[in-house]
Amino acid sequence: MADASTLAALRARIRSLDGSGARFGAVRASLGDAIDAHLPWGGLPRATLHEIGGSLASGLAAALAGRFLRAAGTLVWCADAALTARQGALYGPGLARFGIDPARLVLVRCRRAGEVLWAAHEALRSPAVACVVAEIEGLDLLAGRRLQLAAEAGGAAGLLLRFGRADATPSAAVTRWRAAPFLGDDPGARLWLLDLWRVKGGVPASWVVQWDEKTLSFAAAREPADRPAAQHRRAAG
Amino acid sequence: MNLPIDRLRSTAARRGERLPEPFALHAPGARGQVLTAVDAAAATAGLVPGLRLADARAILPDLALAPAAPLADRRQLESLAAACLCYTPNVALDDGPDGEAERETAALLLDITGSAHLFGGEQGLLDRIARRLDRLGLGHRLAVADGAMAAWAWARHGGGGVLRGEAAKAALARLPVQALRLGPATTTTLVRLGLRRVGQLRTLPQRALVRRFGRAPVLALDRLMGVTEAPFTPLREPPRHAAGLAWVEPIGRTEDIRAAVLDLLQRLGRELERAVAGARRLELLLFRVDGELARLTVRTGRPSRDTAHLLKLFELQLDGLDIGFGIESMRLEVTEAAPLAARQVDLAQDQDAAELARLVDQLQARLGPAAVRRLVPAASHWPEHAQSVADAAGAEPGASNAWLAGQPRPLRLLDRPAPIEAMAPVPDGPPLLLRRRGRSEPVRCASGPERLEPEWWRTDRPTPRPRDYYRVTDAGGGDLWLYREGRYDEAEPPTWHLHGTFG
Repeated sequence: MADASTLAALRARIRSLDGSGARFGAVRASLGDAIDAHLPWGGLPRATLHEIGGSLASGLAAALAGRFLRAAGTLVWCADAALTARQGALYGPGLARFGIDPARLVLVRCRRAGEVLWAAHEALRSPAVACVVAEIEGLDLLAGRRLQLAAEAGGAAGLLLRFGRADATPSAAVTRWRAAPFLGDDPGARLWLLDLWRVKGGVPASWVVQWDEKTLSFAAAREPADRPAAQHRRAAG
Repeated sequence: MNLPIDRLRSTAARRGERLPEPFALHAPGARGQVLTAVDAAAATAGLVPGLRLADARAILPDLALAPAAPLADRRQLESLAAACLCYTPNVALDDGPDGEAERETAALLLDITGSAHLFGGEQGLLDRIARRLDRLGLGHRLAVADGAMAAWAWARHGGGGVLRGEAAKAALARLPVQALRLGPATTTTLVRLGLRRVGQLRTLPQRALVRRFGRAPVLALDRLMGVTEAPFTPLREPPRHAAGLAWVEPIGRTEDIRAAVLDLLQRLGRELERAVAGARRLELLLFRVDGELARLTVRTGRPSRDTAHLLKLFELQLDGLDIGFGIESMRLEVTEAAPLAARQVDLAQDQDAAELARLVDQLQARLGPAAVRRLVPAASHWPEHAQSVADAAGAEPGASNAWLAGQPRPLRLLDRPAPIEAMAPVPDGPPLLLRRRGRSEPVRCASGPERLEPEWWRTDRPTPRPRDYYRVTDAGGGDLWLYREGRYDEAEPPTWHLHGTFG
């Protein structure tokens, strides 16, 4: 009969063996107690890739980038012209709501999707960079692996901001998120449903949260009585 | 040199055609069409530039004609000048004493001080240039002399070739007075007075010459004889640091070019180190076998003489480089430099800034300087003007001023606000229904309005109308930034626009 501490020790051992733990460095970004406790790393690790999709993907990417910027370093945001024309260009006053200081942001506007991957690769390898956001429509496994290696070499967090259809094709990212509005009873609440649908070495889960612009962090939303939190948490898969 | 006609002839030859003979170019003059250039056959028949077209046709009824293209001629001369940069960095277009060079005598001036020995001496250099012009099918007269004016005069009116030392003075004195370039009026008067040779003018008392013709002839004499220097304006500022390489056999493989650039960078690096400077801008000139010039420019955000970094910036551009049939020589120039101390201060923050500058340099080298930007807050409440973009190069992290806070602002702003159909039951009230893709959907929540008045002091035309902004949550939970433009009491009904999204 394994007790909790034995289980934790075994998990740590597995992580050190499959390399998904120590490899990503000690720096991690906090997403609030509830989410941090669920993630195998006790927070979102840097020096690796995270994939973000869903209709609120830009917002989640900005929020995570803002969290990674708590440490020193620069944020590099790479996008190609066609996607930017469709989605709208990043707006400084809006970025400020996610705690992103314009002096620490470098925007890279590429002509083609291939250039976005190249720019992200170069930026991930730079020791001056804390976080890289790459706006993409799709990513093959090989390109993802190259980015993953670059992130490990440079120590920056890579956020793949994915537009278009969500699909379950394999990805090099250690966590894959989907962010969408959560339609609760209070129409003015602006709740987000954060769906962690794939996590290496962990269990998928989802949370209803609210972005707090004052503390620049996610606050767990007080959910209506008829929809307990447990209902959003899915079985291990 | 008869550049306009030679240019057309070599263009025709490349297409396997021949120019007809006799042949002349014409352009509109003060009294109808006049000839601007004539070929050898037409010149033998007595045609000269400046002759009226009607007269020329009377002399030679079968004269073939084409309109002159002075701009194309000028471009050809400029590209020729650029190709001559492989002999010396100081190349000038000859614009004549009054700034208007006679076109059929288009000339290039090269200051070869200290560079002739690289090409086997002055005669060797002349032979080399002559061979190259022959290959291009351009007629030429070449001369080397002490001073730009003497070289020009000796090429145009003398025998050409190298003219140096004591013999030069006597030879120049025997040139016709046209060599002084005093303009047609003065030249004609001098010839009428029997002063046909430069030497004859030199024997006259200067004071009498000045009284009759002004200072111009004396000035021209001094310049021709090398007493004073003629003004020499190089096409481009000569670089402060430069290094060059030339090969007997042209090179073309990327690895060879890379190795050559590395060699040049190492030489310049030592030079920069002695000068306690770093490069801000470098230019690599690749002289192709076919006479074309390929250029690569590299900029750095902060001064650098780091060979590995600078090499990488060039490598990022080598892929798309067109080198034709190969490169015969190459020169690397530091066109902008700035002081750089021998050792950087070893602070962590400074190191981060240096690393960031490297990254920005690399991104800009491949994607272009305009692709890598920073957002800079601007003091304006009008959404489109609240931020501006600045070059990311050279920016220091940490130097910031904050965005105007308080009111909600979207994460993404559309370049052009998109018209949207919305219904507000109360005039000046929030929207309750949105109509999109042919379907009406209720609004979940709307907060606002935030009224923004246009900045009338800006010079945008037309001045935009005032806007009422609402943050609207649509039926699907989408977080939108809408505005209503105009008011209900105006003649034009107000219109709704989507300006950005929050998520």
